[in-house]
Amino acid sequence: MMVRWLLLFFVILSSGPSSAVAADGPLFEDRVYGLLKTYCWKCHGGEGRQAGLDLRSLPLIKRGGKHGPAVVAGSLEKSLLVQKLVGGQMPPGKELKPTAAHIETIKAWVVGGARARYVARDLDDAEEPALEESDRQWWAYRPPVRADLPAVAASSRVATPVDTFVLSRLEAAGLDLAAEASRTALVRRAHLDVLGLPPDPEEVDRFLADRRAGAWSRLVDRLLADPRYGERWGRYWLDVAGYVDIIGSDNDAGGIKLAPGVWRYRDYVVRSYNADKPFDEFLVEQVAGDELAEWRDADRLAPEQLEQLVATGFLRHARDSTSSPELNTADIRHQVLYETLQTVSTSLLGLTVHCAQCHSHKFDPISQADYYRLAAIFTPSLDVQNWIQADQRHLHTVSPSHKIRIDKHNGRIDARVGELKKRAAAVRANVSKRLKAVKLAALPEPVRADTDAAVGVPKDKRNPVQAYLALKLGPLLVVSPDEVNRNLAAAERMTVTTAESEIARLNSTRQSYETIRVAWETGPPAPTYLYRRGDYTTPGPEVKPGVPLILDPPDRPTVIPSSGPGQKPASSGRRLAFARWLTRADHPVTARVIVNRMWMRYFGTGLVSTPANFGLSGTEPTHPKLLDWLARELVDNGWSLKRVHRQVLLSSTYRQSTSRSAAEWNRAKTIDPANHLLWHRPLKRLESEAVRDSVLAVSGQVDLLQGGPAVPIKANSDSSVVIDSSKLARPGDVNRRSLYLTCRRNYHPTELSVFDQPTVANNCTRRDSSAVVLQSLVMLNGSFAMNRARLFAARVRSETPGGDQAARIDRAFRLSLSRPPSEEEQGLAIELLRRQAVELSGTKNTNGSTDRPLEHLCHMLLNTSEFLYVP
Amino acid sequence: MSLHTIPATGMSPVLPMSRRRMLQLGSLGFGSLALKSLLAGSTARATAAQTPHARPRAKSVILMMQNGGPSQMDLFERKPALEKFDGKQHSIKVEMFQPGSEQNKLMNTPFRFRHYGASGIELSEVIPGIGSVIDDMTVVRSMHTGHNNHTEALVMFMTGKIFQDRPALGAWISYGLGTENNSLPGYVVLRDPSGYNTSGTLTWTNGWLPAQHRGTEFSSSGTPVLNLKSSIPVSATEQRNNLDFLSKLNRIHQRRLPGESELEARIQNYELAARMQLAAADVLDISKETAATGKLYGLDNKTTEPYGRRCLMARKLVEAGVRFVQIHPKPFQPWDSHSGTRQNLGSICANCDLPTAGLITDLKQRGLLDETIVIWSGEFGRLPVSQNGTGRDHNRNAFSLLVAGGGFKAGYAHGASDEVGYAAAVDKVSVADFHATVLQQLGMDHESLVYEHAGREETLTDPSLTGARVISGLLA
Repeated sequence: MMVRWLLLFFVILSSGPSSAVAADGPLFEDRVYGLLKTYCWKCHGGEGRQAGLDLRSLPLIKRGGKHGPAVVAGSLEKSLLVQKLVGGQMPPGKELKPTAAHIETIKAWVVGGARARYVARDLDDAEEPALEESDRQWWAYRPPVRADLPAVAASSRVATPVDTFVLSRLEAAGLDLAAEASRTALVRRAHLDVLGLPPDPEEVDRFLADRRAGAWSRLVDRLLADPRYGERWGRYWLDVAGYVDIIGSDNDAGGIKLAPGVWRYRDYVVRSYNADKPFDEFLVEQVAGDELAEWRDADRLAPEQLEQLVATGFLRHARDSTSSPELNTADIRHQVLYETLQTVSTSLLGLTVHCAQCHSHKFDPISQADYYRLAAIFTPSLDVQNWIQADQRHLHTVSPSHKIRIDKHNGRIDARVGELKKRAAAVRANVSKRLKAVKLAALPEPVRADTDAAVGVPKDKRNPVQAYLALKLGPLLVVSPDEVNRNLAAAERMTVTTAESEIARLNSTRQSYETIRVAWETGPPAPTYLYRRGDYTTPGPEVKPGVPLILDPPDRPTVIPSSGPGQKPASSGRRLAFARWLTRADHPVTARVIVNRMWMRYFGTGLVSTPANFGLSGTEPTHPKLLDWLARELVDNGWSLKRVHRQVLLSSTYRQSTSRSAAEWNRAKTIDPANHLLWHRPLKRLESEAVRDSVLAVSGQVDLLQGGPAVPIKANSDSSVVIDSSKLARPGDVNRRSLYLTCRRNYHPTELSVFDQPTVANNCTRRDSSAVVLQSLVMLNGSFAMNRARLFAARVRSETPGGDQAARIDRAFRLSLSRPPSEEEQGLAIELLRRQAVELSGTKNTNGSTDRPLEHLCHMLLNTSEFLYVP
Repeated sequence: MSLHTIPATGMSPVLPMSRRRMLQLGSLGFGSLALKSLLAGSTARATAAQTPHARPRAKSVILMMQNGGPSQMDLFERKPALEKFDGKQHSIKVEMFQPGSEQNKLMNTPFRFRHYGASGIELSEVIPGIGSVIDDMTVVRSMHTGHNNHTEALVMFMTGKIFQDRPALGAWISYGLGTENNSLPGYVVLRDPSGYNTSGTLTWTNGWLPAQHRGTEFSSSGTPVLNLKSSIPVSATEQRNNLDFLSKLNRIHQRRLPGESELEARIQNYELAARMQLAAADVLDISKETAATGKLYGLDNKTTEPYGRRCLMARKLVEAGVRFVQIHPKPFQPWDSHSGTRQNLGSICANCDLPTAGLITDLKQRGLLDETIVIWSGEFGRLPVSQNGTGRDHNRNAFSLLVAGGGFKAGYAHGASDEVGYAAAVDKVSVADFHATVLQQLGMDHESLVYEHAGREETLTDPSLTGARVISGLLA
């Protein structure tokens, strides 16, 4: 197939634009296209499809809209386009009209036969190359099969089937697993990997004290049942979804445009992970939750319906700048669609389908037609010519009819409260007037009337005498609300208190709802066209919704509904059909993509090292049978992620040490330098969130409240980004897990961004892990690390009451590194404390600290490599 | 780990078969690499070039990013037709962006133009400083770009495309050439300390390139680099004690994991952090400069001092071996003149014109101009028709830029826009063309500086889509 495409490529190159040029009449593309684009597309082809008319290509012009064809070749009279332009009805209103010369050009084109280089045709071979049997041979396009477990020599190391696959490859290469890691390393490793937080010393002790068989398995179960698991692993899914809390491209540091209610999607993900929701169900809800049950006419939303609507927030993270009127344009709208498709294809399909936007894929058998068929599944919910601006595209936590009822109900309360307020205000005004009259009477008669007049004149309009009077005597006339209250007569008081208590009662009966970000269809599906060269201004043949052919069994092709005009179901069901296909038990990629990403989180690299590209341009799996076995394990056991977690966590492969003897290391390195075969546990740096969360945990400050609106952050002018403590809902929010901080695209809190918190241009399918100097600067000098180190030291002191220096050092190591110091380290720590005490002796500048030397020790422990890496 | 770290040749027996390997093996040996070299005539493909592909003319770049959209017909390209047809409706309906230009009426410039220097290039009266060094510069009058919104156009000027996620020019250059000073980052950004420009960090992003190639912000007031100093004061001895302890602890940890090079990098980084404290402070200390140098940059004048200081810092940074320095004038978008062209341009030119000339003069007198490319550019130009009576709306179809040094022509005007300045017309230069030309002067072939991302061999210029080519007419 590749060679054939290559030939096509040359054909395209050699067939110049001249090949279709006819003898007479101008061509649409040469003169007319530009004029229609300038004068007509805003409503007919670019941002709109008014009267069903689209003027982007000759076939669409001939097809016309609800008033019939826009152009009939050769006939000016029958060509509505010409009539409307000549008659001046179009472009409408104050829009700039085309010049006479422009209209002449269009007329000449119609008279000359309305010729065009692109005329109506079916998909051609370049847009849809035929699939060959050989294309289907690539591993990723064939359903995963559960292989027999291979026999291995080191059978004592086989703890779960995972080990047989790993050992068999190791043994074939003359290698073996590293020895099991120490139990102290293991308990820290498991906590960091599963929860994203280090264990407390007590949790370490508990595990070390459990000497019975199955201690490890019990620890694993405990961790997987811990609600912090959902936060850790849910965050990974949010990466893949491209989760952000903001609307638009987030280009300016100072301007944070929060998208209200997005956090409900984040909480949905965390809840789903903690509940071990079957992953197929999880995917179906996110792709098509709005099509699972009819909510449009629902009297009330059932809790699961709300959950399903919130789940479709998955499709709402593409950069959408269309809230600003200048950017509410066809190109930006199309980009929202394209980026949504890219998220879907990289996160769920593990294929670079987006490469086929402009041309059939260069490496993989994914055609340009496949791309637009996929687009047709999502266009009804992102209809470029019937667009909802980003800040308007949302629903509510209640059903539409329920919302109307609530609005009416609250409207009635508003009206009633308004009346009551007016009534109370009238009483007060009366009293106020009475009191003022008394005060006025107390003024000397000659200035009485003038002062009264002066205070009645607006401040900036007073003449000098009035200004003087208002300044000197005005205050004597002021009646405070308090005075009014004190001077209410009994009947007046009765009226006011009755009104006020009634207002309070009414307000307490108000009902409310909040915003949710949802993907839903807002009208009947429009036709979808393949865009020639990927350009929306050159639509080609129409395509029907469908899945990439290479992933579909040829004997049982998937049918995606494409309801035509006339049918008006509330939703086309296209995404639901797609989601059902995606979660078929024999789907070739879905389960593989999921388990591969899990493996990557545990081992740093996936079994396929290109987690978003399983195609021919990606890398092949290091352990294909293991990948398939894990995929089958997931699917065949009700899509339970926790089951796969257990298979990995209980394995000897997972539990092996990061290190080996120098001799073993050197030998293995020559055979498998990149450790593809896993002859030792790969060293893995903590991700940005886990670094910050660990610092918070060690300092004893972490606030484990789950869920809710994002914690506000702000960008300072010195280029740092910090939590905005002036806007916190509760003081403890400053210590919330990083998952809950406002997730922007480009401006992350400094201590996260330096540790490779990804810029969210689209989604993130693989985190980078760099070791740059800014990380050292942040941990060494930044206020976050220094202040937490100080709290860490205070914690050490408070947890070692009456203890000596050795006890404090021991506690500091256990808290930060989950182990006691070695004798050598103990000595170094004592030496540091001594030296710092000497340096600090006699200095008055203690910066408000009681134990600066210990703070230094604690601060440096947070700076160690050991703190940053999973042991 | 990104794909670019996989060596192109040499394979261990247990490595999975990479695509490259497959292509080399021949069964599918007519893949992307061969195809590209056939069509483009390129042979060598470097991945992470730390050495240039060809003999470089320049080794560093100073980009003066004039965002907002400087007006080409008010600054760089005299348009007699605008004078003649001032107030008349233009025959072509221009592409508007914001409201205010509906009447489509041409507007003359409020400024006079003068011939400057021996080259006699005509420029506006409002930039006499630039005029005074125009004999060392090229003005390109036929630039065009892809979008009428600031963010998209800025992102395009910096990264080659209008969509966010791609690396900025400076990041590519840092990736391609590395740094010449191990105590300073390869890519430094100097913005106004009082705030970000529109699109802020997007204009110095590393995109999907490794994080060390992201632009590092240096402040021209206070501490030069964020977190370079302790946020809670510590004495030098305290810090030394701490770092000694830390280093010993890290060495003990490293002993258990001798094969992990990243641990060594991390240990080195703490030493680098300490060195950087000195190096950055030294480079940014302008107190040792002579009064004459200060005057050259306008440091003796409140109007020119802030921008002048950054220009001077830029010179010191390239002198110290930094590859790419990006300077921004005032926050937000100082050149965005939707009304009051005369006042607005007058004001920003007063801030920036003299220091710009000062930098060119200073680089030249120190012999640095030959090896430094200085670029002065906005993200797009402006429309020939009036907006709100005295302003101009955004225009992607034509803009002008200035470039000097590094083997670019001196005292030369390249290309032209149409009669009224609406669209580039003669010897057109795209953003991608310009990038390709800059890379070539740094010794890099724009088609060979590649990085594999999401299954595609990415380049800055993406020539198969953009048709980017080196514009030899710009070169001496």
